[in-house]
Amino acid sequence: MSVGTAAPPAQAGFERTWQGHPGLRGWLMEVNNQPLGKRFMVTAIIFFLLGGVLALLMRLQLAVSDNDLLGPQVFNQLFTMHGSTMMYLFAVPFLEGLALYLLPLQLGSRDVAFPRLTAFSYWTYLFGGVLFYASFLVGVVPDAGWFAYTPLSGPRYAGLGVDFWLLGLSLVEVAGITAGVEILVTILKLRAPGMTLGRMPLFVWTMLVTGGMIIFAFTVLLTATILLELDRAAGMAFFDPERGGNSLLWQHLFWFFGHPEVYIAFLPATGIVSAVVAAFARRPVVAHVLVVVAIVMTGFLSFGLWVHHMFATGLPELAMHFFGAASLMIAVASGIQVFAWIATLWGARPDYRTPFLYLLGFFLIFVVGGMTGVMVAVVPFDLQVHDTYFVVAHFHYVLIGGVVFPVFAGLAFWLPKVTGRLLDERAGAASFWLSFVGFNLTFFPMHIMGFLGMPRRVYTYPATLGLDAHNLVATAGAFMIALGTAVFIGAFLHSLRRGRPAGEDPWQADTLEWSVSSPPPIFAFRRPPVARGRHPLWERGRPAAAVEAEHQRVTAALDAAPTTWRATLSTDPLTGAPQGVQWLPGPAMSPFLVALGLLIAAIGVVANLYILDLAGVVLAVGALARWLQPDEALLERLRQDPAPRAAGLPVFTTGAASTGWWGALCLVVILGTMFGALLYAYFYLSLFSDAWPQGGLERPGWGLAGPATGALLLAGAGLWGSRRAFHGGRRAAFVGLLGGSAAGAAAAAVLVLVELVRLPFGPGVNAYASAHFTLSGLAILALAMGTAVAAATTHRLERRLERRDAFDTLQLQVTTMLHGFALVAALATLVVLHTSPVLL
Amino acid sequence: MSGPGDPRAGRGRIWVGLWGPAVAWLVHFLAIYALAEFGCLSPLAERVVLGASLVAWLVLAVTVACLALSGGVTWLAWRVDQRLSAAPTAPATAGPEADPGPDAGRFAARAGWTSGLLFTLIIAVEAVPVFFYLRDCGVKALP
Repeated sequence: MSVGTAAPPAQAGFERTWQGHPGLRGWLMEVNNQPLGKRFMVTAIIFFLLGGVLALLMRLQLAVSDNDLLGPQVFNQLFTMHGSTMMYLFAVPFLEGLALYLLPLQLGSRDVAFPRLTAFSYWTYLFGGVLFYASFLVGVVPDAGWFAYTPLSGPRYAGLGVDFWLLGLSLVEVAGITAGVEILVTILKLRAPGMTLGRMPLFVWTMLVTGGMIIFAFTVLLTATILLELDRAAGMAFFDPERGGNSLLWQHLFWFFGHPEVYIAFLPATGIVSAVVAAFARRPVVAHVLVVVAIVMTGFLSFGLWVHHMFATGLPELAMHFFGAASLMIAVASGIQVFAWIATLWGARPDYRTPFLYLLGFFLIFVVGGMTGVMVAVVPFDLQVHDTYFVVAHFHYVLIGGVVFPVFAGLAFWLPKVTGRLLDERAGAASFWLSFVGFNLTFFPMHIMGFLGMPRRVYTYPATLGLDAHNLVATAGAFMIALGTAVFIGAFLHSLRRGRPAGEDPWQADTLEWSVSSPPPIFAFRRPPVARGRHPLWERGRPAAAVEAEHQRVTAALDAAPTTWRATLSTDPLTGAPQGVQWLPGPAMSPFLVALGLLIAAIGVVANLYILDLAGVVLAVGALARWLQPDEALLERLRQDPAPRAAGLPVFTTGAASTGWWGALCLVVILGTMFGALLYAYFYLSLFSDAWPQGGLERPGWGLAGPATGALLLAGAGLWGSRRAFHGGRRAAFVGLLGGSAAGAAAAAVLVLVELVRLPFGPGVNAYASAHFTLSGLAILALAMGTAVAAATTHRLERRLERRDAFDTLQLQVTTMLHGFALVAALATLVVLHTSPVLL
Repeated sequence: MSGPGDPRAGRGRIWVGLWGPAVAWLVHFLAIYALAEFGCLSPLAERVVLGASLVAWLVLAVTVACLALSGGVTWLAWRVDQRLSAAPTAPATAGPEADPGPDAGRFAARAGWTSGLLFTLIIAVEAVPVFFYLRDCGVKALP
């Protein structure tokens, strides 16, 4: 392995290119993964502390029976905000922040694939979290639980607090999805030359699978939260049984997200565990291939478990047992990882330092949580303990044992890399023992409390239940956990000033991040590294393969280069062979402005100030247009730069070799998942309806949908033809066909809109009408997006056709993907909406 | 895996081998869920053919098809692994159409057949409940 740390001739231009702007403006314009990853983690830890304070208040309330310290309303608010904070604002954002910080360093890249998207992700996350907590300021705190079950969270029973919850959460979901895309494309495309799939570290594998899971799971939740907000703000009826809606639909959509969410937090934690186990055992994790397979299995199977949260809702028995079987099977995947870690540590002589102590805590706690998970996967058992403190104990053993302990292990392990200073070991050990003992004091008695009949989500309990002692112990344990956390944070703050210098690799670990200084330079690697094996730092002496000479030549050409723009190597997703010199954007205000626009629009919805909505949308769309606008002068500069030529690589690539293509593919998958979730809702609602359309509503005719379908088909033909015209260099044909395709999509959108306006019923009449209007609305939005993209591409490529290069080809490919998706999705929507009422 | 002259086909087989079993499981699970959720509330659940409801027959048919798919992909990945293990070590070439090379390919093939075995097992296990509900879907769902 060669890690490229030999100092090349100093090139001030290169370093200057990577510097951000100073001051507040520079802070707002920051796009680099390292500062943004740190911001993600710090913000998430602040939310973790807030969520922890809420938990302590709840435990104070429950410390003794018949307590009236808080009262039921405040207790409802506290458990809602505690659960929501820990699940949405801490666990996933923290791990995404860790990944955004760490992945480029582990992969041998200088930054992530879409730096401006990282900035956008951070700002939307921060704004979403602030909107969540703003509910405290205006005294309308959400109180419907972190799951917001309908009809409790519907307009009849819940006040403005749920709107804060839904809109804040929507922003956080957008942040999560964009970070997921970032993680996925970075791993696929920005690995060091020679880093094949088989050489990727296990932490990277966990993040690859997690990135994919986020895209599907969060998108379904985003769709569900939009539907619920439509019920609340626009009077729709998706979840209102009195108007043909279905409350269980919310549970299906929510848990389709909610269960994978657990694994979205747990899988990266297993990546942390694998990294720490290998470093402390001083040997590779046993059965690497099998562990990778277990990670992939976990990712997939986690989407087959959602109904096990709904065993008590009256679903068909057959369906429940399918989910019960799947829930048992996921233990196989978890078991593979646990046994691989045990086998790795078998016979090793690890140092019992802070990361390793937290790791041992993880093993003990998570295995107990996993065992109780197998218990609740069995339907009859689940029915006995459902909604009791047994379940509270189970999921805290899984989430704190399986996520928080590994997170603290990871913090103790990687903070020396981030800060350059080691934690104080005595303080680290003290924090671990306080947390470990406190955790078990808090949550182990809850298993027994659940068996003895203590229900969850109640603000107090009678003394006759005989659970005072259990609850008092649990409360004392909670304060021990808080003390342990405080000691850890104190140790961290102390280490910033007085910690011992960490050096490059304080743990003698194996992955690439330990090859650079601590803290790393902002560009991570002056010269991109070459990966010779799976454990680069342990294989320095291994003989080089012949192909490495070529990789070394490429990376040498990029040593402290280019000097006027930020760049990193892009590589083949399978082999890690270099494919191009990837341009990376510098500081930009547009991500902040787009996120700010979304926040303003969300506030407008909560406050019923639609002028704010308009202002927010205008700001967001305007900033987005500025963001996406190609900078022709910059493109020309990239074409002329000598560095890519010296490396023998193109600066622009097309198709799967390009990060942009992968980004567009992710967008299509996200939009497709939204359509899929809506179509599921449509058919689910029809399943429980006596007639479809409901309420004797007239079936929609083909009067306008027919011409709209024709327009879509013609637009598709135009799009297909425009690609041939582009590659043939036929300018007039290209402009006519792609421009015509855009016009066809616009015409179809207008026809669908006119059909909606002319319908004799409104969207709030019943659930059928709500579903019809929402699906049509989404189709119109997709067509508007496709039209805008196709029109902009027609306009730009018209001038470029004679001089077209790979960048222009890529633009057309991305346009084809997005515009083509819009056409197909709209066509499918029209067909479903106009044929299903006849068929169902 | 195909030879160096046909890198696209080789890469395609590797990707299919790596993700195919997982996709087979996904298809199977969504299909049997849809049959149980939607089929159990439809006339399919009432019609009994050869001692079992149409829902049960459809679940079994989907299971057999997905077992065949997953098993086939597992066998394919096994073959690729065997072939690559026997081949002399050759470096991966650079470029967008790069031959994956034995190192990348062998890992993917090995992961493919390992996951294939596990996913095939899981598909089979998840279908077991249908044998307890051959004639009906159990207690009716609440409308």
